[in-house]
Order: sequence, then structure tokens, then C-alpha cells
Amino acid sequence: MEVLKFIKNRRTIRKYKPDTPSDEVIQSILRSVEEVLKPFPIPFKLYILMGKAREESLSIMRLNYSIVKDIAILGRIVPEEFKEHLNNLMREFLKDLGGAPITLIGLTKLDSWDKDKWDEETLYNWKVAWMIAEVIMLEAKKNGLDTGSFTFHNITVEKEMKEFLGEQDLNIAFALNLGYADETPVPKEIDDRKFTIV
Amino acid sequence: MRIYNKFKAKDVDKDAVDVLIRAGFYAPYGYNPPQPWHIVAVVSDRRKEITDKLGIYAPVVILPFVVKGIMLPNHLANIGSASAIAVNIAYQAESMDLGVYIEPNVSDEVKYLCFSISGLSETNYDLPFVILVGYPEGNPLDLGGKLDYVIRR
Repeated sequence: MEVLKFIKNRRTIRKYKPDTPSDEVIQSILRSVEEVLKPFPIPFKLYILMGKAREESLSIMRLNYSIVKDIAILGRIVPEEFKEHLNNLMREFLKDLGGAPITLIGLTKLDSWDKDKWDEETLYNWKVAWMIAEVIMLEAKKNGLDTGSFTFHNITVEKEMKEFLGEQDLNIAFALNLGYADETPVPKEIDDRKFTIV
Repeated sequence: MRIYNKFKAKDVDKDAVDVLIRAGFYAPYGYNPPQPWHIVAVVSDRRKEITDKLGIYAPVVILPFVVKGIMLPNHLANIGSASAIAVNIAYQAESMDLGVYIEPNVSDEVKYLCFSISGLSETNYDLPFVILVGYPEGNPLDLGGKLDYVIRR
């Protein structure tokens, strides 16, 4: 598939088929993540939760207020004809976070969300961590898989999740579902007018 | 995704720059549209003012400006989108035999220069990255970063 096509077709997926991606595809995604870290060596750790481990993490992750907020925002911006579909999807998504066979949790060294501003080092880590998230999303799409991110801007949930993972020093930068889409998301609109050539 | 810090003295076609920017615009953002960013491509001689400061020659400089979020989480979400813009541009560039250098640590001096060239206001926008594009020369940049990962089943 031509690159621009899979970049355009990458959409956030909230409902997944139960089929588990092959180890080969997962290893290919991991290699791509390492390609990002080679030029940008930040403190970073990636957890790949599947099967029983993902199920155990669900009770913590689905308490995350930011997931509900995230979906509520989507509810406000989608066209009227998609709202019923979205409401059903929200209810379903919260049961098992879309039923994705895999959840990836990316951790790096971050600052507190309560601050007004982060220092340069922390911002650098955040920027690279989200470069990694996008690489995972694109590599997944390239391999016929889909993804959907949800965030951890809730101190209690992050603390419980870190305890579950056994992590102390690093903070959660992103969480991504990974699997085969079991829905057709609404078409993506972009506003590409804010573009200048000097 | 490979990062290069050396580029050939060969111009990049304007149509190619358009495609790169288009790839950038498809970065994920939860509140579609309008996306909170303004992408500026500097292809004129003014790009040299930026590349000289970074110490890397490149025929194209791409500046993914993002709207400043009022609260830190909003601002960080916009910065995360800029990360995705940079990655999309890098993927697209690679498919066109081009290469990119991505600088996530933009000094105040370089930011000031980029705002002055773009005409955008620093009051409204932030510049999380400077992206250089060109035909790569030599091997991709490798500073030795390794992936630490755990698979739990």
C-alpha cells in the first residue's frame, strides 16, 4: 500500500475482532520502535499486554476518567447520523476497552500533570514518546492492523497501573489498543488550509 | 523511520513538498477539524538562516506550529500531534527516497527566527519541532538508543 494511503486510512479504532496478531507482526512493530530510539535515546519502556495480562489490567484501565472524557468529546463532534452508533460504541468500548487482543503501554520519564509547564527534558521525552506512538500506529496499519489510543491523565489510575506493571521511575505516556478493526469509523476530515510555503 | 543529519546539495521538487505536508496533515487529533496546527515549509534562501543555526544543510525546512493549549494537558496533546506530523512526514519522505532530520529540542533563538520567517505569532503558537528534508547522504543517525520491552500474556 502506498504510504500516503495508509497514513490517510489510519483511524482510531474502538472495536476489535478477537483475533490475535502474529508474533512476527509484533516483532516488526518492536523493531520500528527501536528505530525511533536509535536517534532519540530517551528513557523508555514498552509493555505489551495480551491475554490474561490484558484482562487483569482492564479493571484498572477502564476506571480512567480520561477515556470517558475522550469518547464524550468524540460524541460532540461527530455528525448527527453517527451519534447513535457512537453512543452504542461508547457503552461497548467501556466494557472491555474495545476488546482489543493487545494493549501497548509506553512509559517514559515525565513531570507532574498538575504543573503549569514542563521542563525541556521532560517535554523532549514526551515528544519522542508520541513519535513512537505514531510509528506504532503506522506500522500496525502497514501490517493490516489497527490501533486506538487512550490516555492516562488521571493520577490514581496511573498509580494503580504502574503498580500493576511493577514500574516505579517511569510515567505512562500513552496506551494503545492493537488488533484487527471490527468497525468502520467515520470518514476523517482534515483542514489543510493552514499551510504556507515561504 | 530513519533520521539523517547530512543531505545532498540537490533541490526537492515543490510537488514533493506538497505531498509531505499533506501526509503531515493526516496526523491524529481528537477534535477534527480544524486541527490546531499550521505547517510552514521554508524552501527559499531564508531556510539557510535556520539550517545554519542547526549546523545541517537541507533544501527544505518544515515547521509544524501548534496552537498553544490553555491548560498543560491540552498543550501536551497538541505537542503530541506535532510528534505525529513529524513521523508522517518522515514516513512519506522515505517512500520518496528523501530523508528527514527531526529536531525536538528547538532553542529559543531558533524559535524566534522561525516565528519571524513564518509571520506567525508566538503568543498563539508553539514550535515543538524543526524538520529538515532533503536527499540523504550517509547512514541514518544512530546514538545507540535501545528498546526495553516486556511482553505479558
